[in-house]
This record gives sequence, structure tokens and C-alpha cells, in this order.
Amino acid sequence: MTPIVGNISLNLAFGFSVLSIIILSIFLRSGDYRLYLTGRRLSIGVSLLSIWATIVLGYQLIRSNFEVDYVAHYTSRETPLLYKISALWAGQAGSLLFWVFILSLFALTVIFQNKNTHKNLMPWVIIIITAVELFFLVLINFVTNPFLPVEADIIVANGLGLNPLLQNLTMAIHPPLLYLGYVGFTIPFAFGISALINKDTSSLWIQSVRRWSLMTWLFLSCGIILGGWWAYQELGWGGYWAWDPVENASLMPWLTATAFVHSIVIQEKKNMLRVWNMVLIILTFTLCIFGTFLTRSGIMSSVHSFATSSLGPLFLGFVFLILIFSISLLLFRLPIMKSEKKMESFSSRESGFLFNNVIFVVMCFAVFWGTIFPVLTEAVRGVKITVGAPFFNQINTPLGMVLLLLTGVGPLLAWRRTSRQSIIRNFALPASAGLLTAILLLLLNLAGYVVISFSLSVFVLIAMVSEFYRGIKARMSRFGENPITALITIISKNRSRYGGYIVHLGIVFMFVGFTGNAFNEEKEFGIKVGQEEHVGIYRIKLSGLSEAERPNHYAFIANLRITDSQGNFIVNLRPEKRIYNHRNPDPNRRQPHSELDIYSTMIKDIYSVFSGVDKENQTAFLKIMINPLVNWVWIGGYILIFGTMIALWPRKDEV
Amino acid sequence: MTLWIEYGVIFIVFTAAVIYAVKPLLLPPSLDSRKSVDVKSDLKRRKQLLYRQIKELEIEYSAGNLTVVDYESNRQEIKIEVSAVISDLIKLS
Repeated sequence: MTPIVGNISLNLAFGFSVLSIIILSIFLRSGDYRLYLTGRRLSIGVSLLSIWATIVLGYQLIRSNFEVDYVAHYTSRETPLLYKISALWAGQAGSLLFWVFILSLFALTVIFQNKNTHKNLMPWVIIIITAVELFFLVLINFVTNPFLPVEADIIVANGLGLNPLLQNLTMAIHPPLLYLGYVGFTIPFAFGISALINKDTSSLWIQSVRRWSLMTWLFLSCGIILGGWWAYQELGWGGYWAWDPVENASLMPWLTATAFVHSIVIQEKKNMLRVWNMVLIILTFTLCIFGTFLTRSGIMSSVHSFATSSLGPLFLGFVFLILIFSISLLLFRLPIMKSEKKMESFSSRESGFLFNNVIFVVMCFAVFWGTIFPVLTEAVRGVKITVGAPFFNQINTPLGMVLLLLTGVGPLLAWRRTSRQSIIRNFALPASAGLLTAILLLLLNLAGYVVISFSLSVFVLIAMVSEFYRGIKARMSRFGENPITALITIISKNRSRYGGYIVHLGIVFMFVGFTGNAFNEEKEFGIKVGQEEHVGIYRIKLSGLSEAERPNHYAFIANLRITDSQGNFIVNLRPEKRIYNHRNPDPNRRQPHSELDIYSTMIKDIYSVFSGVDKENQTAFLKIMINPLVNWVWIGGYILIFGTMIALWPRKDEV
Repeated sequence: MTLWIEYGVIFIVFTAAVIYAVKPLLLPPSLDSRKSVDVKSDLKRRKQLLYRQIKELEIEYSAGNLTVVDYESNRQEIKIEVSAVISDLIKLS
């Protein structure tokens, strides 16, 4: 398996994709079913060839074939196997191939899954998916080819190795998850556009893409959470979300996708919000491509951007092409897309969903505006003006509070309408608990968003728990089941509903964690061996400095002993200052990196960063942070994943 | 030599892929049997969804989330919709 095999596979995949689109287009005019079968098989060929090319590149990375420029750039002989594999998505060319690889897997699944269903939609679905594959194949074949050899007269003895920041287990998992999220939205987009072209106003396509959308949303959520986790554990600034352009690039499609997975429930149940759902899926898919553009173009400086390139105009052109085509088509079909049904009442679950949709889209617009503002100011005024975290926090914190409120309100409202008596009965307990919490917090001299966030969290928590309680109680009195059986039965009989409630509980946990940011403490200092320093209620003692040589780096280790103000021992922390490629004779090739050590509890984290060392004076330069409630964010993430998996689990009649 | 074997394998794979793709063209012509919109399956799906909504409504009512008035009026409305869908289905068949 030489790189030539991979290269030829990519060339063939490109040719097959062009042929597939042409033949399927002729089929749509002539109606000759043989052409459909041929076009479909060509599209299957595109996917298989792309998958094969990816396997070939993976093989080159594993066997350290430094004749391939990409392999020489992103791996070295010392790079551990896991990171040799993850180098597949570390660079631009590889990551674009990885995009096509995932899309190919999804395309094959969709094509075989719908072999005998959606016969009116499938030709266009295949054309759209293949067209997206074609765009990426053009980039890989003609702009940034991962199989290019190194310059002919150079023999590379060893590669440069992977960026140390990427040599982290989380970072090996985070990009594929994010890509699964970005790429996955191609499928609902393809179905939506196909339904528009076919003038299909039914909710059948929605039913088909609901599970796809939810699964893709789950991948995107996991990708974002893991990205935050990686940033927290690797970057050393003590936080997990910095409103960095690349972080925002993943948040924007997540916001519109979250709105979409809520509003398709209304279309599925009531065949309402058809235009709105089309707008949401077009926006989500466009933002996924835009996200890839932001990450890969190098147009924004970001701690998460590991590649720069001249791909920007091509991506931007593709984004505009998608938008112009989709929006024009939607406008053209507008007369048949309008729903005959109207919202029956303001106090209904439908209006709750719609309201949350509006908030999600407004948040997305705010994030979009803040993200592209530096580019716009540079284009208009020649000066790059960056809006920082305060801008994003100022706008998104109040909107986030409204969303948190709706997380509790929505499930308490009934479909169609809720009478005043039902509202009073359902809201009495959660609202009282929320108010009581607010009063208690105000008495503890807390104020502002901290009080609002904690009170709303209690409101939502009680609302969700009481929903479970009512469901269990009803089954116990009706069927005489014990509480555990009743709980399992209500969840298994109504997975999307109770799965959704569990997701909402996860969101509550995450908001509690976000609110903990308000109590962060931080101190940077130099400290000699044997000395002590105070941070908050803790005493930090540098008990020693040690060194270690490992296969791909050299490490200075600070041995820290942490005690509380009474001198009670808490933990020993060992943050490291590492030098990667330390054996390289060229000092410019050696890469310094701070490996953190964190003591994590449900109440707070003690976060230690070894910034620098003065060996002569036996002095370590440290940054210590006390970060309360961070673990709640990750636990909330686990709950969110668990809830989504319950909602995704098919019902018996759907298997 | 190894390179020639690889080229040979590529050629065989390519030829097999092309034969697989163009094979349907050798079949006798058959016209597209697609319908513009599959109305019947849409109606069947709607019926199934409305039945599910009645079930959910019953769960909500038995959990005490709805008053009798809300429950009765919502149930009546869904029933009217189901009747309309069933009569459309009968017309189609």
C-alpha cells in the first residue's frame, strides 16, 4: 500500500462523484430507473474509494513513511501509536480527508438504510451528499493533497512530530467527535433540501432525520464538552471556554441544531413550523461548513487552530453557494410550505419550544457577530478590532438564564394549551423552591447572576424531579408497580420525553458549574524549594524539584504539597514543565509545554501550572487557581450524554 | 516490481468498480416508479403519531399534569384529527 494507491483512489473518487451527479441528474429528467441505479452505485464507489484512501494515509502514518510530506510534518519515530493515528486529523490535508471519510460512512449508511424507502427523496439526497463529497475531494485532489511526497532530493530521517498540545488522550477523541457532529448534519440537510425540491410538505422526512439529527447533535455536544475538557487540562489558563473563534465555530451550529431538535418535534406531531425547520437545518449545515472554514482557513487566530492555509476563499464560496441555493429554493417553495395550523395558545408546549428556538437563534447571531467582527472591522477600517469574553458574556448570560428558565417551564406545559389551574398546580412547587433559594442566597450576601442562576437551577431541578415523581406515582397507583419498576417503565415507554428530561437535568448541572466561575481565585508567583505561599484558604509548599527523561520529552517536575489554613494535608500535586523534541540539536525545534496537575472535587478544583524553572536558584514559577464547581460541568455533560442516548434508543415499533 | 503489482491491483479494482456501476445500464429499460409524494404512508404515519399523542395525553393526565377539562378538550381535538386522517386513508384505498 504505497501513497500512490491513496492518491489514485482520491482521483477516482473525484471522477466517480462528478459522474454520479451527472447520471442522477439525467435520471431526474428521463426517469430511466437504470440511470438511478448507476448513479447510486457510483456514489457508493465514491464513498468506498474515499474510505480506502483514508486507510492508506493511516497506514503511512503508522509505519512512519517520511517520504510522504504530511507524515513527516505531523509524526516522528517517537510519536506514540495513538497519536500517529490521531495525526490523521492534526493537519489540514488529513483533516479534510477525514471529513470525507466520515461523510462516506454516513453516505453508505443512508443509501443502504433507504434502499426501499423515500424513493421520491433519495435521488436528490444522493446528489446533495455526493456534491458535498465532491467539494472536499476537489480540495484534497487539487489544493491540499495529503499524499504529496517530500521534495525529491531530500531524505527525511525523522519527522517533526505532533504538536505537544495535541498529544493528549482527549485531543485524540475530541476532533473526531466534533467532525462526526459537523459532517452528520449533511444528512438532515440533504433530506430537507430534497423534500423542498420534491414539494414534499409531509412530516415523513422529518421522522427519518429526527434520529440522525439527535445523534449528530450528541456527537457535536460531546465534541464541545471534550474540547472544553481538553482546554481546561492542557492550555493552562484555568478555564474551559474562552469564546475563542474556533470554540464559537462549534457552538454556533450546536445552538441552531438544539433549536432544530426541539422544533422538529412540533413538525412531527403537528406538521407545523415547516419553514422554520428548513431555515434551521440550512443554517445548521451552513454553520458546520463555516465552522470548518474558521478552523481550517487560519483567518482567525485561535488556540485551537493548528493549521493555516489559503483555503478560505474556496470555503467561503462554498458557504455562499449553499446559502444562495437553499434560501432561493425555500423562497420559491414558500407558498406550499406554510402550515395550515396555528399555535392554539401562548401557554402551550409548542409556544415554549418556539420561544426557546428564538432564544437559541438570537444567541447564535450574537456569537456569530462577535466572531466575525474582527474580520469585518479589518475589511472595512483596516484595523482588526477583537471583541473579547466580556462582550459574549454580557449578551449570552441573560439569554442563557432565559433558556435555563425555559428548560424547566417547557416540560410543565401541555401540548395545545394549558389551563390556569394546571399551570398553578404544576408550577407551585418548583417556583416556590426557586424563590426560597433566591431568598437564602440574598441573605448570604450573594447577588446578580449567581443568585438568578442557582435559583433557576433549583426551579428546573424540582420541575424535572416532580415530573418523574408524578409519572412514577401514576404507574404505582394504576398498576401497583414498585417505584423502581415504575421508573424504568415510564422511561422505556416514553424514551424521547424522559430522555429529554434527563438532558435538561444535565443542563442544570452544567449551569451550576458555569456559575462557579464567579468564585474563581488565582495567583502567580515564583517559589524556592522549601518555601510556602498562600492561595485562598490553601497553603502551597514547593517540597522539591525533580527531572525525568522520557522517550519524546524531557520534564522538570515541581513537587507541591497542598495543605489547608489549619495545616491539614490535602494533596500532593506534580505539575511539569516539558521540553518536547529535547534531543533535537536545533533549539528552535524544541517545544516547551506545561503539563498541569489538578486536584478535583465536587466543591472545587486546585489547578496548578508549572510556568517556568530557574534551576540555579532552585525556583519554580507557578500559577495556582482555585476553581469552584468545575466538576459539575463534566458531570452535567455525562448526564446530557446519558439522556440523549435514552432519547435515541428506538421504540419497539420503530425497530 | 511491487509497484507494478500495486498498479495491477488498482486497475483490477477500478475495472470492478466500473463494471459494478454500469451493470444496471445493461438491464432492460424500466421507468421510474416513484410517486411525487407518498401520501398514503404520510397519512399512516400521522395516524400512528396521533395515537401516540393520545397515549401521552393519558400519561400526562394520570400523572396529574392536566385538569379534567384540559384532558377532555385535548383528547377530543386529537380524536377529530384521527377521524379525518382515517377517512382520508379510506378514500385513498
